[in-house]
Amino acid sequence: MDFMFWDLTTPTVTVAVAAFLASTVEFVEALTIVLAVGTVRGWAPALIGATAGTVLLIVLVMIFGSLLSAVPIAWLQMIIGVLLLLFGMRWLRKAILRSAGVIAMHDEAAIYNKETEMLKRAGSPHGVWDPIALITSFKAVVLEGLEVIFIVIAVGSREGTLIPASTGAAAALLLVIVIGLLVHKPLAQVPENTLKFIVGVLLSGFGVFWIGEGSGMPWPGADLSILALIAGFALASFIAIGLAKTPTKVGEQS
Amino acid sequence: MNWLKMAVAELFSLFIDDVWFSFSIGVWIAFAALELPRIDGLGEWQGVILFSGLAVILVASSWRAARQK
Repeated sequence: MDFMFWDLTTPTVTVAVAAFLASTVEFVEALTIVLAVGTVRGWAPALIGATAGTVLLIVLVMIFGSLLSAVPIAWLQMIIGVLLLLFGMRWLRKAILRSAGVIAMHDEAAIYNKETEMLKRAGSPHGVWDPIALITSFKAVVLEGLEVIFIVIAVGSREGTLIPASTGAAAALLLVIVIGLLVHKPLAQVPENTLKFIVGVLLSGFGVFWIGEGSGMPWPGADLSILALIAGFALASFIAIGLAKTPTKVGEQS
Repeated sequence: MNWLKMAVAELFSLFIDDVWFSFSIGVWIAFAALELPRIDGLGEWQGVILFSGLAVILVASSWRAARQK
């Protein structure tokens, strides 16, 4: 089935969903900082910093996008697979530890309050070209945006999946901007840990699949084995949450 | 050079925050990618073995982190 410019198949839909969810997490984090900068130091420098960060990201995509085509496909699959797996399993492990109560949950409202306090202590604003506002906003967009670019390029590295991945990320950007404009405060209600858990599972599944492809391993069911890998990582994660909860409870009783 | 150090540190932290966790993943991938294709008769089981090792690393690392807390 055709959907706009890409085939609506299981792998392309999975890619679009993975890119959308992962990008939502990153854009929400960037929005929190830009909102804090705008509220404390003024909206003009906050938006100029954010725009400059976006321009730098576009330049980086153009440079690295053209370099990627020069890398042999097996090497590219292997390198991207390893990076995707490290990235995905890092998120997944963190989400497991948060779900088990081992580490604290990510709190956008607390981050917003901390950031506004720091920005207030940095002295009075200096108009449109306030350097603190420009740099803080620029840095937030670049750092979170780099993760989005990596995810889009990595999950979209298979032929025909770059457009679904980009569409997913663009939809997330649009959603976060619209909600940000409407709500005008940090999106603390976004279930950040659940999103990270789902994205961690999806990216880890893609990562293992690319590594297998890059090293010439045959997958049962070809592309559909991505779904089995995703299910496998989800199952392993639920087991890990159960095991990670146990020692804490034992410790509390003793 | 401070900004360069910061950029490298940020890039590094995208992929690694627990060194042993990332190291275990790297070692297992290297073993699976180099050795499994050389074992006769594994066929489609290669991918299953690759995934199983990673799942064990994930569970063991989370359990270890919880115990250390």
